[in-house]
Amino acid sequence: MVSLTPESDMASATPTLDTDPSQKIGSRSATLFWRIRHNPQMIIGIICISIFLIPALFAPWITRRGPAELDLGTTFAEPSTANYFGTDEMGRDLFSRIVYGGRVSLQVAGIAVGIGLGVGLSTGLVAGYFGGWVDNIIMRVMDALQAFPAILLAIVIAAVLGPGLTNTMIAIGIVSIPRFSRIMRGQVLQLKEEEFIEASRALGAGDVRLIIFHILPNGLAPIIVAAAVSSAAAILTEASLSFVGLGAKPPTPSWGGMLQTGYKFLEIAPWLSIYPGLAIAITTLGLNFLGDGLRDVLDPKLKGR
Amino acid sequence: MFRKIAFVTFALLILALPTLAQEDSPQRGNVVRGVCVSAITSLDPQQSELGICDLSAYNALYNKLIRLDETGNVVPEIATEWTVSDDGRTYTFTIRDDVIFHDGNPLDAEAVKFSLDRIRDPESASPVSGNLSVIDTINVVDGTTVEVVLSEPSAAFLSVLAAAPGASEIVSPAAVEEFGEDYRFNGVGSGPFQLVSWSPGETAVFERNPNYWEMGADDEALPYLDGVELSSIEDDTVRLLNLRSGTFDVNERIALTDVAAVEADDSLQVIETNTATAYAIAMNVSQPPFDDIRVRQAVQLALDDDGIINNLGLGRGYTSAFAFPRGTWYFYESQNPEPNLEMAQQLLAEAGYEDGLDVDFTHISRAVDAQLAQILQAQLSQIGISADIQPLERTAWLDIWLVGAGENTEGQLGIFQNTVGIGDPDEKAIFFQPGGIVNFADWDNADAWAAVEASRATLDQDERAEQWATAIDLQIEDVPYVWLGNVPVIGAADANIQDIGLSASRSAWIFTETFVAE
Repeated sequence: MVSLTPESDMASATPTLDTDPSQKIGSRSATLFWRIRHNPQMIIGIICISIFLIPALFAPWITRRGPAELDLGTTFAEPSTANYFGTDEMGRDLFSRIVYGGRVSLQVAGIAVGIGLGVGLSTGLVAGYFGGWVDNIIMRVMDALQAFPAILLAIVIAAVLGPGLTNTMIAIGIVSIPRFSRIMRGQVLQLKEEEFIEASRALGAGDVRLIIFHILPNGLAPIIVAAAVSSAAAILTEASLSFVGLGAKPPTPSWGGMLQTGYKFLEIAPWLSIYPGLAIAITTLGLNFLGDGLRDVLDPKLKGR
Repeated sequence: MFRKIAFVTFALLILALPTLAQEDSPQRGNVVRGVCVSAITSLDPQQSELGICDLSAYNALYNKLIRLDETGNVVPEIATEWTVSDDGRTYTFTIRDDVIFHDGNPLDAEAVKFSLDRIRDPESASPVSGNLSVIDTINVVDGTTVEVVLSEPSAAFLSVLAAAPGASEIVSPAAVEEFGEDYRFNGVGSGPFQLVSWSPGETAVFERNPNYWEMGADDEALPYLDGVELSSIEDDTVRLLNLRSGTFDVNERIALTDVAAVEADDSLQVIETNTATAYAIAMNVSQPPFDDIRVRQAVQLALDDDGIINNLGLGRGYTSAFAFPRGTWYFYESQNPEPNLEMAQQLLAEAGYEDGLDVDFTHISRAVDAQLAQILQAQLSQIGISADIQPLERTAWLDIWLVGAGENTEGQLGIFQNTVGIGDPDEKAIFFQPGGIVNFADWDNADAWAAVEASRATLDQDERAEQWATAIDLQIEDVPYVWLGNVPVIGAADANIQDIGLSASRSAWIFTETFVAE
């Protein structure tokens, strides 16, 4: 089918969507966008997350009743057009609770990962950059934190602080600190030896300038991936804590809490367990896919490893 | 021909076999494992929190002087007969002479006096002492005769003695002496089973008492069972799953939502008890904000009793403004005032809380309590009371609420269940007793207490019921408690376990005549 007309030569010179524009000429963001569109994991991840979290953003507009609104007359109603996901033992609309529960999960994931990210990044940067005894102390503390199984540590912290959403977020945040700290430290150790850092230093850049403007931006890619995966872990941990009664307090709707009361009625009202279970499973799966996808997109060299 | 006869005989034998096996003559042997909601707290009936496993352990370990049968009549146990003097103040009990404690000592009149005096001793601070407050002195006439002198005639005395949990188990004086403070871990009585091992939080193991005095249907000494084990699991679902899997044989209670499934299961039986659970809240009247009657009234007016009891009882319960069971001679058809949110808000505003107030709800972490807490939270939020729900372990809850007058500084609004049996109404006097530790709300109303005491002083049932009605009306008016209503307790057991006795006042298990049909 190959013809040697000038038109076809011109066409082959134009990059089509089937080749990576980064090998040609193109802006950085266009490259990134192209990689995202061609990463099925990432697309699936985003879709999974959107299923429950987009409704959560628009919760007041798409639910008919508040998540804590009782209707003692219609308990254990099966899923129907009146109550999409059925009602629970107090006649509350499960759809509304799931949607609002998404907000709680989103909040927990965001704030807990924020705590872990903030503390983890700064300690990791300091430990990696300065090395020596500073590094030793910080990393031994991280070792100690990591020595406990994450869920156990979260339970202990939540139990000590007392149940409640804020304390849950703090507990999950603390548990996720070592992960960020270690990754950041590793990045710093590697980047410290790079020529562009040496060059900056030779040009007179101080420690703070080096850390903030040169090392941090170049070491962020794996951190972003870790943040996505950590969000999944945070949602799961919050659900676990709520399940053992240490998470969100009523009337705050939480997926884990719903599962906890729902399983008691498994035989007569299975939907009370199925929907919160699905919400947790799909959202955490989506975040994990997103994390994997981000890794491939941000650092193509790692792909397939 | 011969082969035909042989075949028919054989066939008849085969047909007869199952009927022989099904005949329910009691069989000896086997161990029955019971599972309750709450763990055993003590083997000393006089220092106990009186959960169902506690009481079942006492039924196994101890004998009482007298007891209530299933229809509510007082029948002999250790006492074979008793007489009442003409002035109604002196009861003379003749007791059996063939009963020995598990430690080998005989159960005599001294032991009866010792046990009852031990409850009454102010130093022992027994939570059940109120039940025996009417006793003035106890005299040992001879080895088998005890004379109990009351300070005034009391209609309730016999039935309270027979049925009030923990009020009349006869403990071994020698064992109490020997173990001292540790007696609660080492209960020694004369009951059908004796203790093998128990420590708090673990399964209590009891074995057959080989020297028990009661005779079974096969003319040999009871009990039929070789032993009894008592454990606890708080979660209704987990408890039922364990019953199904065969880890346990008898389950104190199942969630009402599970009754249909258990009925449909051939390997299980539903146990209809004569007991109900009353759901109630206590408001601590010794602390703000509930020291103000207007706040308490507002709470009362904000609650929709009908809706709540329908929801908790799935249609099996009934509303009642006090924990008396329907159908008894003392049941008082009382209801809390109809919900009125406007009036409730107005009362709150008058009390200075027009902008709403924050209240701590403490409840024992059990499924139904948690559900009730959330319903109350939703209903009270309508009048601007916002609740911080705090689920607690049973013992932690009791640490806050089961204290003397003025000592509860932590609890504001407590959600609790109270077991409603068919015993004497006087068992509920503890909620009216000023300064009594079970009087969770710390309520002190002289008129109400006087009415309760007046009901003790008369022998006339109608008048007793009337005095109780007065006391209840005063409680509804003063609102230290809001009793929402009663929901029947339904238990479950393996289908082959037969003749599980249930005590009249609390439906605790009596395994004396229980056997397992193979």
